[in-house]
Amino acid sequence: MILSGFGLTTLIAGALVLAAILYGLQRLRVQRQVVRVATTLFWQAAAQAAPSRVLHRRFRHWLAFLLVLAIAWLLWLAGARPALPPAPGTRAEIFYLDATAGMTAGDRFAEARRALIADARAVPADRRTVYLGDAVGTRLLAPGEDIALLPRRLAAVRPEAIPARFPDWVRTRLPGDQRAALHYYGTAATLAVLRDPRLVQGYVAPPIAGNRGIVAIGAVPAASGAWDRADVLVRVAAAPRGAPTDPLAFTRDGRPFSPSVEQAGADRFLLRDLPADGSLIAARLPGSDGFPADDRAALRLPDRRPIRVAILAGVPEPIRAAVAADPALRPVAPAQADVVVRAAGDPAIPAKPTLILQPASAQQAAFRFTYVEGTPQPDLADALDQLGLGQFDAVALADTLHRPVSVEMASGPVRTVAVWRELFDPTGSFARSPSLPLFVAQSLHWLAAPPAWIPYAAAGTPLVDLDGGDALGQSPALAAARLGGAIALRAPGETRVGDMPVAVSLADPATTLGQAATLPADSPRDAHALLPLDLPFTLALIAAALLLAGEWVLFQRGRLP
Amino acid sequence: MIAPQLSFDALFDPDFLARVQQFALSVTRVDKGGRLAEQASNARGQGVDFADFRPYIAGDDLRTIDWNIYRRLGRLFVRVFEERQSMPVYFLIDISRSMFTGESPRIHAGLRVSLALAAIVLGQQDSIGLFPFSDAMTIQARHLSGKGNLVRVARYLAEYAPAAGTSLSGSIETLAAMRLRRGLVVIVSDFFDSDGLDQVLPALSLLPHRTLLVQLVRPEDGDPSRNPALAGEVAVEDSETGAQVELTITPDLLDRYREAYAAFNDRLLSHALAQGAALARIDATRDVLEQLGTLFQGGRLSL
Repeated sequence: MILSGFGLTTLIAGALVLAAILYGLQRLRVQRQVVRVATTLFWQAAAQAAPSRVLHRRFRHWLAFLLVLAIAWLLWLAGARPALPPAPGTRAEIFYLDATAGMTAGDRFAEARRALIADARAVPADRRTVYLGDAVGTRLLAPGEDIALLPRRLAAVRPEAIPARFPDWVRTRLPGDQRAALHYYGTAATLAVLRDPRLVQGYVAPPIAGNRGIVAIGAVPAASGAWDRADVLVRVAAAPRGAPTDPLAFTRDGRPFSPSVEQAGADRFLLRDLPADGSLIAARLPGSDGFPADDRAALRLPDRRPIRVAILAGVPEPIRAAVAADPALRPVAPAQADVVVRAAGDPAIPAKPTLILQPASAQQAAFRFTYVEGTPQPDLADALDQLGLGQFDAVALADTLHRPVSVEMASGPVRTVAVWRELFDPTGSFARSPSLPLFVAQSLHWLAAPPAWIPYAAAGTPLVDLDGGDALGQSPALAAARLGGAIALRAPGETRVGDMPVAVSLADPATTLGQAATLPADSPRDAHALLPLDLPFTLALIAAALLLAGEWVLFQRGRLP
Repeated sequence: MIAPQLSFDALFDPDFLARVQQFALSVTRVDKGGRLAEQASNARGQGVDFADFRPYIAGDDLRTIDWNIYRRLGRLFVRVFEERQSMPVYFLIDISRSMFTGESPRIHAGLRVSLALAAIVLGQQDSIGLFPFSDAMTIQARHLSGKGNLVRVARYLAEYAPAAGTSLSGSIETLAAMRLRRGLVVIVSDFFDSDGLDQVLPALSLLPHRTLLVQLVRPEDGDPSRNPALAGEVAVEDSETGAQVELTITPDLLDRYREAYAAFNDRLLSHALAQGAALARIDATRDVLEQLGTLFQGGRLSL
């Protein structure tokens, strides 16, 4: 027998201490039985000569003392958590409780939790490890920890509507140990994906026939070319023998919304030219199919309203023409402007991002980009092509101006782009090239830093920024939130990344299609008939309870002092 | 535990009453003023027992004139006889709660003794009075006579219910102050007065009557080891006041208890002997008639 609570020395020492304490208590113990008599006056007279409180003569009930001592020792033994020793050479037992989207339906998670606790209880503590299949694979019970901790740690756990992580978890966390047994408590679809000889089926959720759900929802810039419009694609999938797909119901910012829906295939629905104004578009499948987690999906549309540009007096005509020709830019007065374009002689508006036209004599580099202090420095090599400078004939310009043409980066309180004014001379090659309107538009967009375009936000996947692929399109807010890595999206619902609202949806085809999956009949199952290793603990408790009941009966019958 | 009252049917046992008729109860002399009966009295009148001579006065019965004295002295004298009258017997019956405690409560034996003595008294043409007491004495019946009243007496006794504490001394003093015709007082009690014998015995001396003390005892009174509950750590609770005394029952304590109880009995007996009273100690757990037989030596008890 092994003691997992405390060691043998502590057990023996504690038993001796208990015996001493009970002995002392027994000596001091006075339980008086009330007897009604008529001869009290004689007892009073007798008691005056022989007082009753004589402590050293109280210990006369050896059997009662032994009974109490036996109860105390049994409880002390139970506290040591005695268990039968496991068979030598046995393997490690790893338990994995799936807490992802597939377990959100009905009582699946509660049943899996019960099965897990029952199975884990039958395994020796030193060979047992329990993991929770959440987004990060939290370890619930380390080897050697008491099984009593497991129900408490699982009490507040609820499954999250994220794609299953079990296969990835096995590949990354359990790459090698072939002697371990991996007990899985989750869905059949997840279990079927993994072909691993170590896998043992603990609990498999019953299939849900006829499930269908929304497996994708995303937004792209409108195919019509409108700057401030977006096309939204919704994809629906149904498990085998699933119900026919009913028309989707849409809401916009919570209110019913009836867009023109174009069916782009059997399971795809397209909503064209929706205003890219940052509103929340939600799609819902009508009816109920037993797995509600995938019946609704939502998407926060990008916010692409025109950039307000103030053009001051000294700005040359080619730039004015380029701004006027771009529907994404709207000339406004300086007070309402997001971005300012000015010449060197125009008054400066310090707080606003500005495109400045400097005389070549006043600036060493032809193009000087100033980014905000404390933010990541844009990659200049990538920026040149996006600015239209990749096709720019810098050599000819340098010959004309008798100066080398270069690009430099600096940091400052606000974004600015300072450019030689001579480049925009109407007779110059740059002013007549197609690169100028591209340069003006891209520069003003970079200066305005519009919100990032998030094409979709699926739970359990990294955040994708449609503009983030190029250096000039990276959102400062996302860059700050990213902290050098990917931004992981957790459970479905409304969330914020930096200062930007994001609507996260489950949108996982594997989850939707896997609800109807079943396992082959020959799948290895967990051996529930494991030897109850905590039998000594249970027996000690039962024996203590029986002795306690016996003592109570004897006391009630007046057989115990 | 308070025992149930003794019913009339259980108390009024004709066989029991027939057997007590063999006994006779008398006192040395009763006060005059009673009805003609069998008890010697200090009254002078009709009778068979010569008492004295006195000068003849007009109206005396001529049959009582002693002619021999007249022949010798020449004067008329009449013979005076002792008149036998009835004896008043006053029953002072304890109905405190201590009398009703236990499986064989003292009150059952006390009522049987009382009824037996009442049957004897009424059978010999004497009279009885019933004065139950607890915290105070009450007058239930001042004068009952004739055999026909025995049923009435039994009904009175059967109605006794547990009252409160015991004030034996106060009840005796009250009875003594009533200036009843001198006769016999029968005190049926356990004599466990909370004031102790220090108050009871002086009160007994105040009674102008002959006295019969019927002390109702139980075996565990003198030997508490007979009560299995009285072992180890106990709290004895007074059956009347509810006051508790915490005890550790030890042989030494038991010895001290027995000493206290024996002293109590000795003192009560000594006082009874000194006062010319009789003391009948009746075990409440045993047959009453058998114990009365030892009291009436030769079938008569004369006080």
